[in-house]
Amino acid sequence: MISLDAILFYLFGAVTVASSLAVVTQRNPMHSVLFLIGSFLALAGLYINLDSPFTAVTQIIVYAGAIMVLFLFVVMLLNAPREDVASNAKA
Amino acid sequence: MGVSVQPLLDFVTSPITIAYVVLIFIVFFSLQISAAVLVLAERKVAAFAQQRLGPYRVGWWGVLQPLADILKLLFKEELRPKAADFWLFYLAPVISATTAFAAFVVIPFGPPTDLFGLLPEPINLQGMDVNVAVLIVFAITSMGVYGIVLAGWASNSKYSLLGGLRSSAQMLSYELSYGLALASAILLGNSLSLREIVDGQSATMLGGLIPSGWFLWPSFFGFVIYMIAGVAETNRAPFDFPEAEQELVAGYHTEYSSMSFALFFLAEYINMVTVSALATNLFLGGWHWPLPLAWGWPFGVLNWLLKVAFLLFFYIWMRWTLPRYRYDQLMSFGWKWLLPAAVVNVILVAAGVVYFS
Repeated sequence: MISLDAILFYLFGAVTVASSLAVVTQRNPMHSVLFLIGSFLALAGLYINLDSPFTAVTQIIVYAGAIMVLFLFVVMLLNAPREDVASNAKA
Repeated sequence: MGVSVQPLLDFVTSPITIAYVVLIFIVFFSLQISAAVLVLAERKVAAFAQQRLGPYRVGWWGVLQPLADILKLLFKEELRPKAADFWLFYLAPVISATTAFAAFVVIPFGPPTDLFGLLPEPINLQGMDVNVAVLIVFAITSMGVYGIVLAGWASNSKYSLLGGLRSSAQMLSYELSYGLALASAILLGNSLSLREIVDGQSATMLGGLIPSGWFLWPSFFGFVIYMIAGVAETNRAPFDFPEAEQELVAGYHTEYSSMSFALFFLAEYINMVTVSALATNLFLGGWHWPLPLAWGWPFGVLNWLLKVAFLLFFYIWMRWTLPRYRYDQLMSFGWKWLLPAAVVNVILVAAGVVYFS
């Protein structure tokens, strides 16, 4: 019998892993930043599943709320172009 | 399998669970209706401030005007700039609206009640009672900035981008003062649960005439700072830089039309309700005054609604009274005056709590 805790664990775990993978595979840096936020939010869900809502909320306030806004700011201001394979191969 | 499913079935069909589900639906629809009422109230108060009539043709005294506005927006064409980022352009209004609704789920609006004996045990009049409610509201509100920043970036228009950048700088700056003002109420209430903070403010003097238990009195500057930072957080005038019409056309939602614009509009008004509701619970004693709770729980809810309505009126009143700041004035005010004042307030409140307890 699979408990509700286990179902939620696999759900949030899968979202965390999938969005973390998307962070490194996305070509557009803006989309990478957003997937990183998604990964942090799913991580907060895992914390709530572990009965520690304070850690979860701190995770959202500090990482998803404050640090990622700075990331987003920098990426927006740098106006980073789409990364393509050719420029990586040259470097 | 049949044995293990039974507890889940009992949980789902218990009156308490059903009551909470119904309660969440009521909160959800009340928020939408409150946004519609606020749109009308804003136009009526603006008309009063400018000595004109405001909407009066649609329905009696213009009460159906919000409905007409919504219908108009529904039938408009959904436009998207060719250079816009497809996913982010449509994700941004959804983030705005979702965070606005989600922040309200932990806010209590009345004393525990069994609905006149309808339920076997009393339920709390709030979507969910969590012991870190204040922080959850703070966290979800701070996520709302993504909606605006992404709208600004994904539209691929210079006015939108400037609006998004301004909004993120403004919200990050004022979030510090906002958080410190919250901290003063948390210190006084000795709890992070909104329900316990409200119940810590029940004391009255002179036979219920003066609400002496309100955290407004020991932390008056905390309340003032909270309201100022709240205006900046919700991007309302006099701090409405992300959408300053005279400078940026319409700021971050310049390129939005139809329902995606309506979602931003909805989010702005619901954020106002959330900030006012939080101020009511943290500083104005929630549902504890002026009508005595001994009369029954509906009067508690009425108390709460009256206070929130007054704060919302205050918001609208301020918008139509004060002119917009200049952007550098906003930043220097936030960092040089509001933040030091908030720090001093927290230190004084903390010292007072230690001294008097």
